[in-house]
Amino acid sequence: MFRDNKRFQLLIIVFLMQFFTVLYISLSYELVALSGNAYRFKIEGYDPIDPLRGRYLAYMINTETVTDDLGEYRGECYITIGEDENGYAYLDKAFKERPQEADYITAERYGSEYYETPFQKYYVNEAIAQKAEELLRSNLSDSYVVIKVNSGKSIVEGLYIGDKHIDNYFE
Amino acid sequence: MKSKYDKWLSHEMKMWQENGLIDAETATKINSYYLNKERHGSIHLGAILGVLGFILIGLGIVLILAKNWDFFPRGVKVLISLLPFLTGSFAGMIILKRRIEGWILEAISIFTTIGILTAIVMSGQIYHIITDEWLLFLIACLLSLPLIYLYDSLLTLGAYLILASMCLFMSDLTILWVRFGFSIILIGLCVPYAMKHYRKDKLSLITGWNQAFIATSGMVFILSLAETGAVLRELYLIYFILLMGIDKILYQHESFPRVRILSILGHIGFYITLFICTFKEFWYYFYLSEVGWQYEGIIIVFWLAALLTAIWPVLRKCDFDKKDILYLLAAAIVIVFRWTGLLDTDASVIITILFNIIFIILSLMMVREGIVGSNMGHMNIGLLLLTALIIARFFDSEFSFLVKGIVFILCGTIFLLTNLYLIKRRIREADHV
Repeated sequence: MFRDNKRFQLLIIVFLMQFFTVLYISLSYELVALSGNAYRFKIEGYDPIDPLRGRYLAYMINTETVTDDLGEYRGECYITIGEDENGYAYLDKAFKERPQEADYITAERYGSEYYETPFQKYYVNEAIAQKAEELLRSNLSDSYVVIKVNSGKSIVEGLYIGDKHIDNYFE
Repeated sequence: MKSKYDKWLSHEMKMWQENGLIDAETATKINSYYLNKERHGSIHLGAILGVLGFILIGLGIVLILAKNWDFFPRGVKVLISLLPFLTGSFAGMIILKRRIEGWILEAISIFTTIGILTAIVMSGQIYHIITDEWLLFLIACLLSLPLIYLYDSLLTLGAYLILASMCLFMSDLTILWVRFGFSIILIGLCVPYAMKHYRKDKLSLITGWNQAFIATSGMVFILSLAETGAVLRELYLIYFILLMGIDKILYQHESFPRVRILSILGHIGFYITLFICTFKEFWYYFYLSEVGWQYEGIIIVFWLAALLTAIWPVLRKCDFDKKDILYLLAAAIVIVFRWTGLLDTDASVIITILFNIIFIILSLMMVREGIVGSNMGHMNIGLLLLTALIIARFFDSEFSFLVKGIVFILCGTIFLLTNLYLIKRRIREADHV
């Protein structure tokens, strides 16, 4: 299909395109990790497995706190983040358009009551997954995740039980 | 290693030379032609093992990374997740620069594709964030697409189509036309690759595999179109008719009886779907007549495409298969029932009877073709289909014993009378002779 020299040149172009796309995905998250605002969300969870990315603690963030004027709208929405008197964050108000003033996360809205947030999985080392799950189950009321948010993009910085990062329990 | 055909050819050529049909020079030319063809066209065990080795190593790396090495800092984890992709890419560059050909290109291509997928999904693990997974699969499949062409890689085509299928199944594209268009584009992007091989050698193994991958992913894409409950029976039927039609267009002048993947997949899929349609209970559960105008639009587009491929031989003055009319009729019946609102539980008995009649006629046509053309395969398949239908209806609890009994006796009588008529006609013909 291609002459060899041309094929090599095309491969270089394709490689650069692939490399920058793949790198962009990681770098865009790294940027949020470095410069995003941190929020603590209370959680609940258990320990399943992802065939590609390994074991994780599945958890949920309470979405019952969300208020909106979106009616029966289904699809992507933007939820602002509020903070309660104990310093924990909660999901506040959902919008169809990106809010300008406050930090927000992107979520999926299914009908008027159900929201799916991107915060569902905390990946842990295979060796500690089972113990981590037990620890999480027995300390759910003290558990929270720290989420960093920057311009609608967010990452999970860590899962904490009490004031200690979950990985530190197994050192 | 010489195949039995090569041994036969060598033996025959020796005979031809001895009988003066060809000279030594021609024999050498024929020999080198087939030797060259075997070198480029055949697949060796060593090549298969080599490619499998690369795939296993790639998947092994994915599993090792999935362990989640928490003692590495985040930056190192990102770098490690990129390693399989970078290794594959650089190995590919070296191989292309040195102009090495053969199975290694296939291996490197699939390894790089696994590397791309690894790099993309690992970002989710590293940052504990779940973005839309369909988007990740879409990025991975689009990034792997150029590798199919650059490395001329059949396995990467397979991987691309698997990734595209996963993307479509996971996607939350709610507008059906968008999803439909998206499927067509994703398949369309790899069609030039399949056509290149088709033009090179339309009966080669690679061409067959290309067609198998594309046809299967087409079916998966159609499955992904159906929302929960909205089962599009007619769309499945039409899709298989379409496959048979495309096969006829691609191989209209092909008389050499070789395996034709699209025809095989089309026939198998069509007859299985048709057989399932002969069960009354199959027409009970679903949104019966309400699938929305978008679905109906897509069904019509597919049906017209199938119709075009079916009448193509007529336009080109080639042989026309009468069974095509029945194939299209079966799909048209469901469409008409759906449009007229008759596709409901009460009317299910009518559509079931119609499908049973179509199935019987098609089976008998196949038996007849087998007898007339002295084709045992056709005749046996026709008989097998008839037997399957008889067994299914005998044990079918959806019809009353009385109805089943009467239908069985009626059908048996019709078969016997037909047999009697054919015997008498044969005797009359023999008398004339």
